[in-house]
Amino acid sequence: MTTTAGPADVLLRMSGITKRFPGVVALDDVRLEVRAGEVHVLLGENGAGKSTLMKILGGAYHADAGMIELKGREVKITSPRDALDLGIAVIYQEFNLVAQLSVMENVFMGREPRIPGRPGVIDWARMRRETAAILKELDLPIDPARQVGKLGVAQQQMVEIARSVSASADVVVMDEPTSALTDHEIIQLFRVVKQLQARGAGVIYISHRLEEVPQVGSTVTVLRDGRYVDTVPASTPIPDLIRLMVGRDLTKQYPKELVEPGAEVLRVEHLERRGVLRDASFSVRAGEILGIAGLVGAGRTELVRAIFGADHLDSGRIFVDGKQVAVHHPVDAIRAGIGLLPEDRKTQGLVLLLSIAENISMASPGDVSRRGFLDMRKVAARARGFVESLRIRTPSVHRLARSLSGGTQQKVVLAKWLASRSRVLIFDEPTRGIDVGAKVEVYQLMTTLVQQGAAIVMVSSELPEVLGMSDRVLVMRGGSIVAELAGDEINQERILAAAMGQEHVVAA
Amino acid sequence: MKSKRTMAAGLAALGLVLAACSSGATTAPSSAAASAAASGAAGAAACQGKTIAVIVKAGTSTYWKTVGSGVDDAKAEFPGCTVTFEGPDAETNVTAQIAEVEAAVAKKVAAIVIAVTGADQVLPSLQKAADAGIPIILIDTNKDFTPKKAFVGTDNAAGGKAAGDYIVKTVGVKAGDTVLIIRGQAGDAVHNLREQGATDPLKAAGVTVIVQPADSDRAKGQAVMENVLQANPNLKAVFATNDEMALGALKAAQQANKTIPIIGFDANPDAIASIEAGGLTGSIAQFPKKIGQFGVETAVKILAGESVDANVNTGVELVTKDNVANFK
Amino acid sequence: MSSQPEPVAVAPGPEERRNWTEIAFQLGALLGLILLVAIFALSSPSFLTTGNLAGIARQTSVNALLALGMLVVILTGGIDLSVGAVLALAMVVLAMVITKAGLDQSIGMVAALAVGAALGVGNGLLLTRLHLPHPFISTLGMMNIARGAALVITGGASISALGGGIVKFIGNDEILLGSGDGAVSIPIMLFVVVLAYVAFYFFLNRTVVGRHIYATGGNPEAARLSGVPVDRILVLVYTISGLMAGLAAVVLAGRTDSGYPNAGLGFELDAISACIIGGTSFFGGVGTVSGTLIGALIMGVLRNGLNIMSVDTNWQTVVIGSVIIAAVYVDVLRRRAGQSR
Repeated sequence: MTTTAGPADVLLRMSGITKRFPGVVALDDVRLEVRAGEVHVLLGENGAGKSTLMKILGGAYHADAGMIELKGREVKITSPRDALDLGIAVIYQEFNLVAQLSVMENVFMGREPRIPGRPGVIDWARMRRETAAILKELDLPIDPARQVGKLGVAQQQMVEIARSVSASADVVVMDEPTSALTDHEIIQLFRVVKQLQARGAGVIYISHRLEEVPQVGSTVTVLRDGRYVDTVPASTPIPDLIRLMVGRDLTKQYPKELVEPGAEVLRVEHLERRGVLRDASFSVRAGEILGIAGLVGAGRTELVRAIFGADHLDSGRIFVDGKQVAVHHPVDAIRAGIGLLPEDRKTQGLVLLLSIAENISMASPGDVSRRGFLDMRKVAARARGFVESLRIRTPSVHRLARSLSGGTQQKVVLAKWLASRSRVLIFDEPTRGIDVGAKVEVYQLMTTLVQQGAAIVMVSSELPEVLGMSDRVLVMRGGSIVAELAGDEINQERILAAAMGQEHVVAA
Repeated sequence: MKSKRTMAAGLAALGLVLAACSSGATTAPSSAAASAAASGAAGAAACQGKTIAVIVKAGTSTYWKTVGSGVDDAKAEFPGCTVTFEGPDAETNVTAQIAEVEAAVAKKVAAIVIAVTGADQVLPSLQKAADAGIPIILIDTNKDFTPKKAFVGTDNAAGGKAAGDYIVKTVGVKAGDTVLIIRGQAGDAVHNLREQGATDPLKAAGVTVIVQPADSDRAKGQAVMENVLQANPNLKAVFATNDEMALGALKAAQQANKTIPIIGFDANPDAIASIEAGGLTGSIAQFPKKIGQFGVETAVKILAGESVDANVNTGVELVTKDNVANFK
Repeated sequence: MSSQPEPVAVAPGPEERRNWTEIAFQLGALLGLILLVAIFALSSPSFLTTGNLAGIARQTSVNALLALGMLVVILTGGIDLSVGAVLALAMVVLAMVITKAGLDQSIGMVAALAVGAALGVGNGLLLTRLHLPHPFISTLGMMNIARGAALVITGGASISALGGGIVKFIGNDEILLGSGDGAVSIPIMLFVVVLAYVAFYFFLNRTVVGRHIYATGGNPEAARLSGVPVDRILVLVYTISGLMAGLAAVVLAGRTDSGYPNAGLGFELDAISACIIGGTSFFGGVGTVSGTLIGALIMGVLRNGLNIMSVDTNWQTVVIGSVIIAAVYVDVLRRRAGQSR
């Protein structure tokens, strides 16, 4: 099924790429062919080797074996500088932008136009002119003189793309470009990707969102466990793509089971925070998954952080099991039985420099210590219990949290809250940055938890997830809860309409 | 971090008067005081309404406060003048002293009397002051600085030489013996002169001289002495270029149950007490109060258009158990 | 080896369970120490004598204690520039309590510890309550305040002759082990230092609060969201640092039989150097008690050996500077190694 192309139209060919790290073979004889004017989607679960392959292409890593050909000529890439000089631009998830500088300075960083005859003096007028031209070509309404830090995430990404265009890159690599974007911004991004395509560039596109593949891609190459699996057209049905990625059939993407709801566990009334939350009230019962939908900036994360005591509340009341609790600090929420799985696990959920075992015991050290002294055997034993019950894939509970993949990290955060006997679990973007196989596992765990009597609040920007997992859905807009949907009311149209302030149209 | 001087220390004043009567290893102070007094009236007129800035190495230590008391005395002689007194928080804080010089230039003072800290980093800003027509009088620490009008201070080399001579003649070290010199911060000009002054007579007598730094700190002086004693248990004598290091070395010698003659420099109250109690063998006394007083007087004379000596020596004297009573 | 398929699994404590590069770097510092000792031992027969080793122990003690306090602060991603000045203030307060007030040395010792702890609490509150942007600022301010206060209350003069008592016992006395020619005298302060290092090892590795210190340094936001009282941890680490400065003041006062306001100038840099040489990361969350001890010993052995070999004054400065730069470079290399995995 491998597509073979004539050497003439192949822009980039990587072949026989092998990369070993101490104890692991990260890439084993991997190949990739990108033609000019195509968007080549690179698919694979986390750990499949996509990022490593792109780091080799971008010059951050050096391959142990293999060959890279660009326009038919073999090239050696030993540093990021080499890659740039060869016309290969890699846009990483963490942007390489200087937030304090202007858009044009970022676009021309390292290649600033000089005034002829005056060494070292920047030609600001030319820099501004050329940046404006590129932004216009990409149809981006951004002022070249604007400070990058004041732009939104999506616009910062556009600046990265503008930079690769200005460097006349032939190959542009985009690593999960849509993970932080709203639906509207994604549409804008796809338009710019099409522009790059039209210019004859080869775009390598890494994504976890399978539904994007047919929208943006031309060809798909699938990697699994550091090996090349196959290259197929982007029109390949999604279940087939999943099978290629995980090497097996995923019977059910959303393993939702109906649970008879029990008593009310959490109720919040009239939560207010100036400029962020307006009169938010809701409740959730044992055995129930309550989805919270809305556009980015609607106040969903702010709502759950305030309930957890991570952010300050101006007014409002919080009840757990019908009793009011005063939550001023996460400690208060944890004592009341609330646990928060934050959207960014790396910066908010885990201490990456500590072990899995220590992370699991962090919120409930009292159970494994006496008079302030930790019993390290108990810490490890408890962790091993969770490693088994949650199927956390690790050779040892003493591994640093840093070494785990996204899905496994999410399970460690969950274990932390189960260890502290939380009965209200707040998942903020539970599957962001998690690959397809692990997503299903997270959903299965959520189902098991509600079956055991937990109450789950799930903030999500992925509509299929909200639709597939929620018993009830709250929709937020501008800091207020604008709709509550249950049963048959839960559908894409009603959620989107409420989120965008069009609810009355649908209701009418 | 400029600190105001508190009360004048009377000790040094008393020492000054008595030193004039005492016999012993004294280098002769010059006659600047007398001549300054003679021109007092003219001087007072010369600096009427003007400011003389005195800038020292550290505003806070005992030594510089004693210098300050001499400045106070000079101030009393010339009531019409404004005399300011300041210095950085620590002797090593060169940048603070540069800032003080620049501030003095900005205030357009009539003369700068300065004890230059560090190596030569302050000199460029002093050069600017001189370019602005402000006369510069160096005190305490002499520098190779062409625009200076005069240097007023202890002859540190003479002080070092007095210590070296004492070790050779009175302690009686012989050719082949080992003597330790513990000195202050590397590169400090004053400590260079003291070290060199002591080394010359010792080397001339064929003595092996070890020089080690202890940053003018008591604990570090103690550590250096401990370490050197390990490698040289037969050390015959020690000269430390300040009293703090000498007292630290004394503690180390006592701890090792050794009686080794140790000579310090400055004759500060702690050292005097130790000499009296039979601890330190001696200390080189200088007359910091005179440095402050003569410094301001010299500045006033320059403002009055009188000629001054290029080098105004304020003298040194070795304090030992024999004459310690004079220094209490 | 244990039954688990771990690459490094020889009965590891939490700090040894870190990955192999960190162990290699810690070993690197130890190898550096062994190398230094070998060089000095070959150059001078007086270096490897019991008398000189006791001397190294005495000269390293103060920095070793300060470095322990500094370690807990740097583990949280902070820095304490005030320890040298706090030591000076605690030391002169101790000296004045004993000589001017005529009280027993034990009261002077308590006063020194109290001064240290109180200024440490001050540092912590400046950081967490006034929200000063970085502990560099708050502790720099405290450094000047404490140094100034020490100068003010003494009038800039040293105070000598503290007499006998607990302070002299800790800082000056020795205990004779064995008899005859084989007898070795061990400074009492060595026991204090060993005790402190053992206590800190258990504190940092075995207690809830100790692990919270690592968590706070490794990721303050994740720690806070896990219910770790981050602000209280921060106040605590600066208090510990101040307390260690107070303890170091007691040792130094006993050793020099005095209190002087210019004590401890630049000691903060020696303490920071000891931590960094020992593999502590300036960025928080990484660092060990054992590494810090090795770092302090490297600094102490270096100074001692340079004295014994009578190395030229000006060159000593160059050598010490080079070692500090080499140490910071090791930190850079380690970060690089950590990122490329």
